[in-house]
Amino acid sequence: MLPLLRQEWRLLRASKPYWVTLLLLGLLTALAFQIGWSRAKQTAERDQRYRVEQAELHLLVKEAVQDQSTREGPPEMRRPMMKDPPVDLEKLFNRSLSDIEKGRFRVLWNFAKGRFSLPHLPWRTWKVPSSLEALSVGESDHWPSYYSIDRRRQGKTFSPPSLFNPFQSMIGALDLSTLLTVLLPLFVIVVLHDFVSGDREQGTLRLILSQNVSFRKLVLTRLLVRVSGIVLTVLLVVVTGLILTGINLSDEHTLRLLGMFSLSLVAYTLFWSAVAWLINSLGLTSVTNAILMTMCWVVLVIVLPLGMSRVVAGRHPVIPLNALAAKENEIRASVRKAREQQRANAPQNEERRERRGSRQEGNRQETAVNSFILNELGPQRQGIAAEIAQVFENHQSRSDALDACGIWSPAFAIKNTCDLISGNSLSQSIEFSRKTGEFHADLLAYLEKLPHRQSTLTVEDLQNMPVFLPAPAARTISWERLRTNVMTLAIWSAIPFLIGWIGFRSRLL
Amino acid sequence: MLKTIDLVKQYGSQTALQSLNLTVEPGEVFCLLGANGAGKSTTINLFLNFIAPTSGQVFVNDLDVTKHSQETKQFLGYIPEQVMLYKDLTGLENLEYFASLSRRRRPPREELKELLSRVHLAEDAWNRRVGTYSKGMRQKVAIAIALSKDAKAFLLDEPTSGLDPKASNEFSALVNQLKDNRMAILMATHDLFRAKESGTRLGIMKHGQLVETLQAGSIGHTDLEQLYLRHMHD
Repeated sequence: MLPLLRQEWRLLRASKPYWVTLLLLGLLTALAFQIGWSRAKQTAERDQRYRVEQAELHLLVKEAVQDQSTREGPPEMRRPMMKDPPVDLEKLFNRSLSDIEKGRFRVLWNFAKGRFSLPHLPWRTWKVPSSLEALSVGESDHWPSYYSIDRRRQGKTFSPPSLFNPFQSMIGALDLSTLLTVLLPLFVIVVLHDFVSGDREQGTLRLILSQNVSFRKLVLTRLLVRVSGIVLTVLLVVVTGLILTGINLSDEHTLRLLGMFSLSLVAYTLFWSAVAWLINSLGLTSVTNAILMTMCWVVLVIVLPLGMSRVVAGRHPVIPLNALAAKENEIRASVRKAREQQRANAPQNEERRERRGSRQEGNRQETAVNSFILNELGPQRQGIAAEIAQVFENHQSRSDALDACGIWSPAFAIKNTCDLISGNSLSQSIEFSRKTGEFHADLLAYLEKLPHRQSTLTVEDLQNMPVFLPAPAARTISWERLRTNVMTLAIWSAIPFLIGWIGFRSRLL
Repeated sequence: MLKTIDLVKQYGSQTALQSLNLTVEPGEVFCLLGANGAGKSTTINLFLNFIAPTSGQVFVNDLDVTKHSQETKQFLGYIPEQVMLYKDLTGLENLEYFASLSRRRRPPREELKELLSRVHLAEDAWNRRVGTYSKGMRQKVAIAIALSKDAKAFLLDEPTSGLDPKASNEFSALVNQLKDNRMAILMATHDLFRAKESGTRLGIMKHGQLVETLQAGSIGHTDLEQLYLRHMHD
């Protein structure tokens, strides 16, 4: 086998079209990796920013709670708002602050002292990026990777950012997973559609068949040599990209993920090679082979996944997240409008109060606004909360159904693998949302238990408060699902290969 | 070395070969003459096991080719009518590739160069891409390929068609050289002149049957032509 491999390699080395194809594949892979990486970089930077922000917020609140300046003396001596906190904020955070930041921190310092205001501080949860985030954008375009948590949200965890590019939401971003799922088979078609028929048309097949070598072994070697170039090109670009972008490949978890990605890539490429093997075994012309393989590509990469997605979407309908967000925004706008109306009436009320010496009118206005919020908007808000809960359930069932589809579609299997490895799969996003929801519920439950709003906080209160501890997306990977995907691809590869093995006769002249 | 016993090949209702009995001994050049469709190439394809016989047996070095397909190919050198090699490789690289297929190891470069010398391929062509070769040059490489695996028998399918007189002459010289080296050669050809010149025995085929076998030395050019034409017109 080894001498055959060496000879096939020498033969391939002289083929310029092959190298041009690999070069094009390498460039596209690098481009897709770059796109994925720039997104991953943004996510990582945001993650880092949030971590710093939350750490500083905790530090500030802790310092504010420990500050005794407002606790000493009788209540009337307490300063409700301090112009400057009694600590040097720049020294506290160990960095220089802009005037805007200083102003914000001053407000937060005063805010943090009351139990009532604590729940309204801007706590955040965030999905920690995977080390191989660059491999796939996944569902990150459609699902928020961070949430703002405060008391006003009343248990809702959805606040999805609006979609900037609706077209992209339909076709997905050109990331590495899309390249592998959709375009890689086309490269296999280019390289392998004529790996036997080409020899027949060129006339070299007769001379090959007159040699005392197993024809099946020869063509198998040829197939493996040609296809290994494709796999190695993609892997080389990806690994080089990861090294250049500073990913620590000595980390065991990252290495395992990279190993699983490589296995899936090999299995998916082998599947398309097996299709080429089967079609070449039929003894047709190269053009016919190319047409047949392209038809297989259309069916297996376009029609079948699209059809299955449609069926799943039909069975598990979900309200688009931006539609829910729009509804929520409408309600917020109504509340804002009602409050503005109340403020606009306030001076008139004062005049009336002075004139009439009574506060009855002002109180009536305030009560009307509160009644409007409670009676009119409350049920709507609850309705949205229920809808959001339903969306979670529907997305979960849709995610499960799509995972199950992976068994019936190699394209689904490879896409699912890339999404999982990158930490951007739908199931991981749902899991993150669920954990945020749980954290939010815990936080609210804790805050509800705190005593009267006029009391000040103690350090113990703060220490007992639930803290969101994000797990890296890569750690929530379902290895079982990944193994199933690889097995699925292997079985899909074996079927056409075995049929081709039986059909491959040496008499292909 | 090459033998067929009651060999029959049918394509559906059409008979391509009808009870062919043929023997080619080492050092003998058996030329199969006949019109297109007479069964000459079918006979060669059967020796190479490219097609399966309908009935009868084909032997190479006393091995049945249908049962020992790969082993028998070790003894066979095959020169098709159009020798097609890999155009992007040089003559030497093509020889190396095909020689490695049969020998399952990479032959030494010096040995390959020696083979190309033996078939009289000009040295300046060895490292030129085969895409620039003439038919005669490609044939020489194909003979070198056969020699590289120590073939004991050669199957030549219309080897001189399309060759210029000089190249034809060179080819005949090569065939004579192979004959002198005790190779058994079965050559299918339309070229009566070359058949008479290189062959030791001549066989005239018609409608899948060997209708006449004669010693090449026992007949003159003109008589051979007349005999051939008579068979074709019958």
